[in-house]
Amino acid sequence: MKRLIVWIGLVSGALAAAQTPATAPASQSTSPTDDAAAAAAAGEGSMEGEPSDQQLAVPSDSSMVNDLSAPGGVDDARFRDVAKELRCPTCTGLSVLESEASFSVQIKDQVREQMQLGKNKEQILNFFTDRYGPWILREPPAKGFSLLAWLVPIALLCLGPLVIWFTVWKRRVHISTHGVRGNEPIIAEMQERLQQLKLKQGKGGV
Amino acid sequence: MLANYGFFLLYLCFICCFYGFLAAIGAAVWRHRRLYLSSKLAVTSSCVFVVIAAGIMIYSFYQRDYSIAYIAKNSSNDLPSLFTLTAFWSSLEGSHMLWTTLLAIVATIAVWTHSKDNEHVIPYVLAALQAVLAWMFYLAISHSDPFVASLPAPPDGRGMNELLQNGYMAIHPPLLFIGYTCLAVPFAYSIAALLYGDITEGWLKAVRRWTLVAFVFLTAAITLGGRWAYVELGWAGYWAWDPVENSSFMPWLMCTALLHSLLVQDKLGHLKRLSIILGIAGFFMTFVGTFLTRSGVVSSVHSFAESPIGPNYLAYLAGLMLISVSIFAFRAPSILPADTEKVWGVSKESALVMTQFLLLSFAAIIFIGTMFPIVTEALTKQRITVQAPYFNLFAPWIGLGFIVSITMGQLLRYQSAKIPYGKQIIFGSVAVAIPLSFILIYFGDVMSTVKTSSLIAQLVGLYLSSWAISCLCGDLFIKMKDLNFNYGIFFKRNLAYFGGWLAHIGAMIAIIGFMGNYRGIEKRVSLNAGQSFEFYGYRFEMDHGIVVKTEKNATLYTAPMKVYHGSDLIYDLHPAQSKYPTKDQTFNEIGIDGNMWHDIYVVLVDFDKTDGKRVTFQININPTVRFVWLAIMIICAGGLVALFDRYRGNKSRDVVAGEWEVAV
Repeated sequence: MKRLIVWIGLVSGALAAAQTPATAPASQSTSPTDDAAAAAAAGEGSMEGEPSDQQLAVPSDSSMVNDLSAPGGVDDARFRDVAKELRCPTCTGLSVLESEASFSVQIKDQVREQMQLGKNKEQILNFFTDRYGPWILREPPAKGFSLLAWLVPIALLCLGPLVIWFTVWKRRVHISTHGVRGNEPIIAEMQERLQQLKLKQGKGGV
Repeated sequence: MLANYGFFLLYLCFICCFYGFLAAIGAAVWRHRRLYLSSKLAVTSSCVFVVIAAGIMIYSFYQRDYSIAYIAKNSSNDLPSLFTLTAFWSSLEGSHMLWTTLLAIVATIAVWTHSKDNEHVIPYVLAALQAVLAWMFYLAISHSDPFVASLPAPPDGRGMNELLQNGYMAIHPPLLFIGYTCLAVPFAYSIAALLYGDITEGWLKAVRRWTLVAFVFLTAAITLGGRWAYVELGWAGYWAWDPVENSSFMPWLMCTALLHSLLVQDKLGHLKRLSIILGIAGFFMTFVGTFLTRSGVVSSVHSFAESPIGPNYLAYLAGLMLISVSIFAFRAPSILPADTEKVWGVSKESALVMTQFLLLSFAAIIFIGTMFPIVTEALTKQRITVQAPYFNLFAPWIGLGFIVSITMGQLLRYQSAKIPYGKQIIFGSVAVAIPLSFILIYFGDVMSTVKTSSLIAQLVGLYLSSWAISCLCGDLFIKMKDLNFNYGIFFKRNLAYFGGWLAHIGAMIAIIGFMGNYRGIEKRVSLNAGQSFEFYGYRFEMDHGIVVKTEKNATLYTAPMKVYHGSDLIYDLHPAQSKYPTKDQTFNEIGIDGNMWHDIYVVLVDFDKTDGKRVTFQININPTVRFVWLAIMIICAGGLVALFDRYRGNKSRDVVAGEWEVAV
């Protein structure tokens, strides 16, 4: 088995190796979109580690660490709290907080603007639902038809155990087996007969 | 040219399976042995043909034969060797073909390795499996043909999806599909039991084994998918409750519930019909999941019409449902529970039923959450969203239920409300859990990572799971004590128990790990070259800006970052953005390192395009993520251990296998 795996690996490796000469020029010809970044790595030979002279020339005392999490004097924790509740319109399953898609960035900017206007979380969320509809919220609203999305699971979790309790646990189950017998009665009957047989033999012996 | 042979082989497979399906029905009705063997050979030959077809596909991928449209769409000249192989299943037609191939292989293994005492149901099993296979092959040749030509062949392909060029994505789909296809066997056996009209010990043995295999593969596959999201997508989490993830999780829940109902069925002869329902439903859910993710229904009902495979899937699902339900409705009365009087009361079997209830209601909640936007849009024309916050609200309650029911299920004994050494274990654990949870709270750093609103929930959760772990250990100790610490006997006779015990310990550790999802801190920061930044007791230093390097087919813009704790250098991170020649977009390569208690997760968000000296990072501290990976490994190990248990039948009634009437 191991040999087979190794064999397959080798064959696929060989096939790939046969392809490499064709691929090499293709990968070199492609240029990165931002040539400046390429300039930063002027010598492509020094792949890792060694910073180039150019990089050392940057004065490191120019500005202090810039904390980007709260630009515009907006409280970070509150911002996250709001941004977490809004969906990224272009991705599946993410909030705008977790996404860097251009649409999400716009929404985040809007959230900051609204916070600077002094609105609270509820007001900001209302602002977005007015503009985009309830779709923009990550949870279904607890009113109208969407209320079902909340009631059904809660009812299921609360009533389910009760239903099981009353229908299954409390009931003494007796099954009619339509004439097909299980092992136990047969075994019991046979033991009884055996007992009788032994008794008879015992009497006969005396 | 080869592509034509590939298509021809798929066509042949369809014909083989269709014939095999009819032959199996004939074999079952007339109890005709020759027909049965012929049907068995039909499924085997379709397996051989589809494997050859898959081989042709893979060979063409390595030949970079762009005259096949699928290869032109999903491969390119600069694709590395490994990803040239995995590009096979990186898109719809290929993954459908991979699934079909695996199903054919699994079906063949299942019908050739069945035990002697299952021979009476195997014709039905063959019929069910080949009906499914025939449909899959029909789809492959009609709507999702991977061998469609695109002539003239373009000089270079359009390239594989960059997000999928990752080792985890190379093995996640095959493992998941193996899990899905293994669930086809319990399904086929369930249909067979209904049609034959009885459940035997051999049936239970076969179904238990295949369900366990499916369980192990699904667990591993789902986790690898989560790991892929964690290291590739850059939103600092591994589970987003998006429809694709949900659709793989629902079959897992069904499969796990099935394992537990098989246990009750084995020990007491009850819950037979539930096992059958779960066997059918688990397999059905795998197709529901595929339908949801493939048809585009999830994003909006209106995208449904765009994909031709969607309506076909819907028709198939409806057909499968209709046939299964009607077979069940007509034949279920023939499946009888054991002939014993039964009061459930407080006992192990009741705890097992509670666990199943929790697993199934979890599946139901996920199903409701996934389907609700579609239903709402169809009924009220209003678009709504159901995402992570909705599921995250219910999950802790289900988790709480799991802690209690798993512990009680492990401690209680069958048909008895008495727990041996119950008081000592339960109240002893109440005490033992205090230091244990204190360790978790201290090292997990709950106090400084938690949001104030969920502090109590975190503390209660950690305490309860420590209590549960302690109770489980107590139970294992009592079991050992009963055997006078004779490990030979324990590992010879009690592997099923030990496997279950491991899986449950794993579940508890996983719950502790999942709780880390509800806390954690994050910071976004912009650094110039040479600057450093203090966060969560660590000093993050970027001594020089962006470094550009080429790796395989991608160009990496890396910002090497050193992480100090005090004055010691502890982690060397390489967060990067990668750029592939075929796309304008860049992708995240995340710098992750950390210890058992928390991961440091650094995403390179943006950098100064002029000189690469100023870089913006998103830094996340994710608590107890490694607990989850560890826990899943333990759960899989538990599943494997249980698989090696030498099965001993219990209380199910056995029926002598039917003889062949036409045995020639």
